[in-house]
Amino acid sequence: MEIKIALAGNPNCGKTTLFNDLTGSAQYVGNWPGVTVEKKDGRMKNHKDVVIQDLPGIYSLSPYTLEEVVTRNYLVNEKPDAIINIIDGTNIERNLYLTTQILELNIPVVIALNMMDLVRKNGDSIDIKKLSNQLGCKIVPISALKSEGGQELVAEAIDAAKNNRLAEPPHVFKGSVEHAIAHIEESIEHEVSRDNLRWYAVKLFERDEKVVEDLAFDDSLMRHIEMHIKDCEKEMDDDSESIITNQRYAYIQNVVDLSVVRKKARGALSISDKIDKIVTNRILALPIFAVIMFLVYYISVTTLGTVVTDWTNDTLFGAWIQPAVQHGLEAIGASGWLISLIVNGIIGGLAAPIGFAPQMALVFFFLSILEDCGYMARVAFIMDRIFRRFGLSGKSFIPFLISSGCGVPAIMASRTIENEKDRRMTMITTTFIPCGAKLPVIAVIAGFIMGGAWWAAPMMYFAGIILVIISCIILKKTRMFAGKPAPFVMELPQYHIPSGRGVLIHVWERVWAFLKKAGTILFLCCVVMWFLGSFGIHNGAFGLVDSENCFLSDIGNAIAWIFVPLGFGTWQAVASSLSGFVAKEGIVSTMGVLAGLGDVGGYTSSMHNAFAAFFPTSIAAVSFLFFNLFDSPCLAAISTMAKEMGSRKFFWFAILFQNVMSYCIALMVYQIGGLAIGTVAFGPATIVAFILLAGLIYLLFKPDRSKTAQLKVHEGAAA
Amino acid sequence: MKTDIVLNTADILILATLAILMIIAVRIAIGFFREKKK
Repeated sequence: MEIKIALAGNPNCGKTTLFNDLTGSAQYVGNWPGVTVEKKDGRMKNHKDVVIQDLPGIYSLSPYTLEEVVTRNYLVNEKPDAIINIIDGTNIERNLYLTTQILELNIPVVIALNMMDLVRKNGDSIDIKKLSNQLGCKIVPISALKSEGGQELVAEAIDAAKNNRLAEPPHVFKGSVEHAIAHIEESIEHEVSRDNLRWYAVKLFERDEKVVEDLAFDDSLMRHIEMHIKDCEKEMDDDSESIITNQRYAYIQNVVDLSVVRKKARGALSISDKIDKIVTNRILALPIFAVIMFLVYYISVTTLGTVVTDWTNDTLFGAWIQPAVQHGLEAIGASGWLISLIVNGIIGGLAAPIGFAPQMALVFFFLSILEDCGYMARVAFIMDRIFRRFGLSGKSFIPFLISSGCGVPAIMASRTIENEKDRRMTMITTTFIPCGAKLPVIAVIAGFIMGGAWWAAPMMYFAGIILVIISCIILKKTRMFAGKPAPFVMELPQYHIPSGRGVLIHVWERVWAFLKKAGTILFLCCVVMWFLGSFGIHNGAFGLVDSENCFLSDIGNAIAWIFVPLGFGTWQAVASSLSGFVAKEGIVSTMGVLAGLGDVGGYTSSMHNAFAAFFPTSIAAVSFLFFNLFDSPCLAAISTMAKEMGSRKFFWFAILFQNVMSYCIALMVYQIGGLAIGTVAFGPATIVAFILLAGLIYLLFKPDRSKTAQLKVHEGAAA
Repeated sequence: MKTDIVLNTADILILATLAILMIIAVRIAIGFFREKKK
């Protein structure tokens, strides 16, 4: 029989790390709260009949955000066979709040006391036996990061599930509170399942809106329950929710006093606090972040990255694969056009983006170290100060951070934002941050325009952040998105040395996703693009034609007029941009096919010359880069956005906004930038660009009506 | 300038291999999108 064991605990207590350890999975792990937004299932290593379920982190069973609702609904309604409640041993008081609620669910519970290595390192000690006796359930000390104690923990959980070994509910509430809850239990015992009786009684006492709504009791029963609550509130001189919270914390304090011995006095600064004094300093925080990001890209793109990328391009593809395949095909007597398809179309098309995979892997390597050690959680905190000024919560920074890897999980990560307007605004703007697939485009354009300048990639990263801010300022002034940003409260994790396995898994996941895309979508894209770029109708007959007469040139030329004001009206550039709507890696791969990269010997230098020919001027190439970085994302991200947006109106608005925004930015860059450097003559498109710039400045600085209205209300109230 | 397409035995074999690879790629790509959606 299958046994379902759910992992439940506070955000960032190590659930996904334990899940990966127990199941051998490679789910995304991040050192900040809110990484897991959906329930994930995996089969236990060596126990294939045991299903481990990773649930989104939750501070209590009173959910506020979408992913917290996922956890509560699952635990209360679907009931796993056992719960492993993971507790961060370094933050035991806060974590036990959820434990006191989970113990009321009438499901076998085993507590995993995680981060015991850190507890020991801090010089603290926890008396497991005493704690276990107090809470009435088994406790297993573990360190998920170091794979310690996992097997023993699961053995206990399986045993608890098989024998339905329920925890002995601790006596959390005292006197009149327990009395009132008992009365409520009595009143509803025929209305709800016996298993959930205690939990529903406590929730009704708290007047939990969602529970009251779900149960939909008749008025007379609700009045009776309300009478018991009011009697208790009168006696305790407090509201019911606060009474429950206070008594839970009083109970927890008592449990902790009996079983935890701390070496350091409360309030003393830890190493993390000391580091935070510098990296989250009001003045130093942003420059430190900028320097770190520039360093990440400098090392990845210039030093080690260039060596590996040059080797992949020039030696692997240029000197080994391409000549070997060409000679092989010639030897078996393949026709010239078929050799062209394989060497120019497929190998040439795939070589261009794959050559950048080593640089991409290095960027992800450094970013995952920054995430894993806890620094990126601080950046969210730093960015909150800036984002708040522009009407966006610091919570939005987490999706933006994930977006530097891939837009799909980034859009899904916006579920952690409670406010619907903020959540939708984050989904619209999050793909402005260049994802991994856009790195080859940046590298290619930077390669032939700026001589491979390393600073182009971090500049584009910051350009993405600036565009996010500009978009949010504008959107917040519209009725669709007006309103105050949600408050941002985030627990900052302790700094720790990243686990090598975690970092490597993260890098491998990204690189593997990229290679998978290259082998499938890009492979198909290359064949289609080679066909459209080689075949056509000439003098009324279908067949192989010169590039000027091919289908792709016809399609490109037919819509090139749209892009002429942006400076890249050549059909090659237009066709490359079009393939970017399928997958962003497709842009460079199509450029590779159209440049006939298979024909060249040394890829790196020839690639730059061939690509440069698609753009009349350097500023046109920069405009092409801006358009392709900020337009609507790839198909996978678009389909995720459609699902997560929950509204067709907002989804289509998002697509329109992204494309209009990218078009306007590219137009201004080309027309105004070109005019400034003397490569563009003043004309009607330049006038439009200046009007757009003026409009943008106006929208940025025009007073926010909703804020003005709020001020008037406050003034009225004060008077 | 137009070039005529000539198909010999080697070409047919290569095209058949390519067709199989493309079918596999389409199937994996569909799975990839479904996986992303989940």
